[in-house]
Amino acid sequence: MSLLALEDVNAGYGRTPVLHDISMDIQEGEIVSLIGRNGAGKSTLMKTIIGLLSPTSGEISFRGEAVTDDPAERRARRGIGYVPQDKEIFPRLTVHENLKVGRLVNERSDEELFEEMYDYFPILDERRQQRAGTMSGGEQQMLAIARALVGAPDLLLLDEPSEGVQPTIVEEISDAVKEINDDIGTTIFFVEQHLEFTINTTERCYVIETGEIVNELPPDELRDSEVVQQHITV
Amino acid sequence: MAVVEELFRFLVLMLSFFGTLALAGIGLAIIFGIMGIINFAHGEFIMIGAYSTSMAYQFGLPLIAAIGVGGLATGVFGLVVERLLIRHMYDRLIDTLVATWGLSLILTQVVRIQFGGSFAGVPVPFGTFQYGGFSASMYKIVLGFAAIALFALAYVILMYTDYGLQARAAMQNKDMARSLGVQTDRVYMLTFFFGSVLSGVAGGLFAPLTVLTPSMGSDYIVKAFVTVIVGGANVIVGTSGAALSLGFIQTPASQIFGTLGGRVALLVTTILIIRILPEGISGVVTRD
Amino acid sequence: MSRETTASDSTEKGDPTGQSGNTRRRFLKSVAVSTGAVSIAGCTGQFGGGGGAEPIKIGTLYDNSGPMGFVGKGKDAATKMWLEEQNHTLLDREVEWIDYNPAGDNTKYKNLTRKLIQQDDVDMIFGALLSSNREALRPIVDENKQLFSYNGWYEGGVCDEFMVLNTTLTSQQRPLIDFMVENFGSDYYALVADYNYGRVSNRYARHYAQENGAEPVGEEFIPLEVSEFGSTINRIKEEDPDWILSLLVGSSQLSFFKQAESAGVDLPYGSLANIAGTYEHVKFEPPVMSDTYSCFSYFQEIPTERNRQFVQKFQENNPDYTKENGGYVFLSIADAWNAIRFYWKAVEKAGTVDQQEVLAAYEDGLELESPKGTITFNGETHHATQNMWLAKVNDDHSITFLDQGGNETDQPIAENVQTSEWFRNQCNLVEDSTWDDPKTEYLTPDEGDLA
Repeated sequence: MSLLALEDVNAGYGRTPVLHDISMDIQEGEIVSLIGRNGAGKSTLMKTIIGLLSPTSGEISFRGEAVTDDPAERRARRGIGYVPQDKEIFPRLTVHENLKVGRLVNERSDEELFEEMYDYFPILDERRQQRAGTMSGGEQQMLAIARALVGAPDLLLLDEPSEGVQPTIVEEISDAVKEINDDIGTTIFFVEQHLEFTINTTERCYVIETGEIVNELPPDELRDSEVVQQHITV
Repeated sequence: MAVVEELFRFLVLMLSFFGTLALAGIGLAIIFGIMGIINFAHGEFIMIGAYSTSMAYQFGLPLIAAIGVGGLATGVFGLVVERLLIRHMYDRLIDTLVATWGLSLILTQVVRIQFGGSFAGVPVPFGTFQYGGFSASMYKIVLGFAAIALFALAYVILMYTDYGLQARAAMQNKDMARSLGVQTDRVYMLTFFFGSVLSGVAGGLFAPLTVLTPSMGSDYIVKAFVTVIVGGANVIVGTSGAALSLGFIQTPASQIFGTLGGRVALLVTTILIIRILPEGISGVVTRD
Repeated sequence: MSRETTASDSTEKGDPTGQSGNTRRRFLKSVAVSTGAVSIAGCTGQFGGGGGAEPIKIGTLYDNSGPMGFVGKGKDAATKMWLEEQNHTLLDREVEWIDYNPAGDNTKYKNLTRKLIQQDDVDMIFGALLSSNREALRPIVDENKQLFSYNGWYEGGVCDEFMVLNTTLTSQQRPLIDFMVENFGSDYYALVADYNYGRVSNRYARHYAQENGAEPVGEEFIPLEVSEFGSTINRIKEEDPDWILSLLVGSSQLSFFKQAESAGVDLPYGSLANIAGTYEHVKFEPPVMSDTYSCFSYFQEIPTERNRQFVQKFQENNPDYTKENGGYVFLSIADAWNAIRFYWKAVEKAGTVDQQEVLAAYEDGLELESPKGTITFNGETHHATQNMWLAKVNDDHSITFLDQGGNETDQPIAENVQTSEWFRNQCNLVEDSTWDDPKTEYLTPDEGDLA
């Protein structure tokens, strides 16, 4: 069944259009990625899906229901989790409080899931009472993912999860994403520039160029340097 | 003996300066800190608190209950203002500034038309505190402790309730909070209510010490702004720290140079602190 | 009740010419009056018109809103009551009342003054509450040669051909200071509202105190919006004065009395600002104002039959001013009442509303039986001469009137009190000023001028 569907979505900032007629479809249980150059519209697409930007035209539906007019908080409550590009953890809240914000807005979430997150990310367990703003980039990334997951979303949106993270931790995050998908069955959609991460994690990959989806590839093709040349490298 | 008297004189005066500044500032600080909205009608909210406290007191309630009524009435009024006016202007600082300034003029005039130039007061309770040759109004001491209690209450609400957590999250990153399902509109509405209740309680606490007039708010808004500016972004620690340090300066200054000297010292200190610490006291207590 | 004042340049002192010059001018003035009257009569045909003529027009400019709104409303109510008593008739002519609300805004004061003079073409204007209001419109009045009654109580100093005025506070001070020094002692602590009214009045107070061998042991100038008096109270206790001179005004500053009471300050207050005009003894719960001694030309409680009838009638017409409704028939009401009655007297005496002739009638001297007692109009200074009453606020906030020795009395403490001697030496509008060559000054004494 289609979990998230976009149909001819146009969106942008103010009067500047960024996305042009985006159509895509994500099935329940999939891990799907989207690659593209800087400024191609990756983050804009993410914001449009979570609802921080309103499309100027087109339809977005989630679990078969139209959510185009829902504000972000309602989409979140419907089961979309969002991890933005610069993590955007709450710096002056503790790790534990950050997770609580993610959890307390979803009635479906329970205490067990909360502790489960500490199991997935043991480093967070150690730092429960630490101010989130004082942690490293990788730790903040884990916190941002955990924070989205305690809301027990059906769909998790990750905006460049490997950005600003040490190479050793990138692999850890990739494993965690797959584990989450396997264990809990959370559908995952992420955008990336990091090829290794994308190839290792994803099942299906969209390619975006200047606001338009130009291709859909199996990740293996990303090993082909010609394809990479064409779509990613500047 | 004389030293102890002198100490009492200093402490009681400081407690009363601290209490006045802290109470005047708390409601403004909460609304500004969490919502980023400057409520120019803040002084009039204090006035409404004082008036409704006095009404409840004249009706026969004991003072402490009357102050509760004053806080609640101001809170409900704040809720109406938020729904009708403020919520249409989130993220538009200048618009809210102008709108609330207009509101303050309207409120002053409406109260003047309805109740005249002054309003029945509340007598000062608790009598006189006496130690040797030193005596002071007991209520001023109570006022200082009431300010501390109110800050403690606000701290508990912000730190240990679901509302408080959501408010702090929305304050640090509104879009992210929304993306996690926090209904920021509701949080802001509650925040405006909460800030209004605190302003109303402050007005109720001030009522016995002042003359109730429609324009009494204009006195408190100066104190509130000075405290909030010196305090900076941190609602609880910044604001109470500002009230404490300004009170600490104002006390000897007004003792030596008189009331006028105390006020000059207050404003000079404010300017100096803003020059040295652009983020106010909050810049010292939070570094991240 | 006068507040901030934009003092106009007033260095110019009286006419330097000698006695003979004054006499000559006085002669010229009376000639000017009669010729002026004739020429106006010739132009308009109104002179001595009798019944059926155009209505007499009077204008009032009393704030009905804003911080001073309650004062202006009281003055309008007094004006209305008088006009109704007179059946809106003067010299057999109908009196039309044009009532504007300047709302405490000096720009409106100016515009409405112009409108009254140029569009409505009024015969007389009553108005302005604060000194700043009056100083804003005075140049317009002078330029248009418009007779104007400023009947607020103020710090004194207006010496203007076209203005007729009420008593001044400086004249109240001598009996009060004499009384306080005699009954309580020579060490006093002065609390002064930090603006023109406070500072000028304090200058007079210190002068009269020195004459009595008294001295302020402390003096504090307090900004108008201050409402926190902890340090002031501490300082008063340290100085331990015999009494406190209160020149505190405005609602914020009145908080002092509540705070002093609860801090255990038990000193008599000599007040040149409270009770008569702002009725704190009605507004506050007893005993906050107890032991306050206030000296003014009028209190609602003045124990004469004439005053009792006036108060009764005024309160019947205006129930807002009864004690049950938290109101009080305050000084400014009696002042507005007397101001319009003085005008009536002057017009009846002149037999015309021609402004120059009416002014001549004023300057010739007028006498009035009023709720305040007998008051007269002094032609030289254009100010009223009246009795001063010394009211003591008792523990239950009732009022007792006292004489100089501190005994209860039903008489004023001082009779026929004029403007200060210094002012009378500076200002003689009969001798030094004419309609065509008018004196329009605002005189305030500098430090040392009084001695």
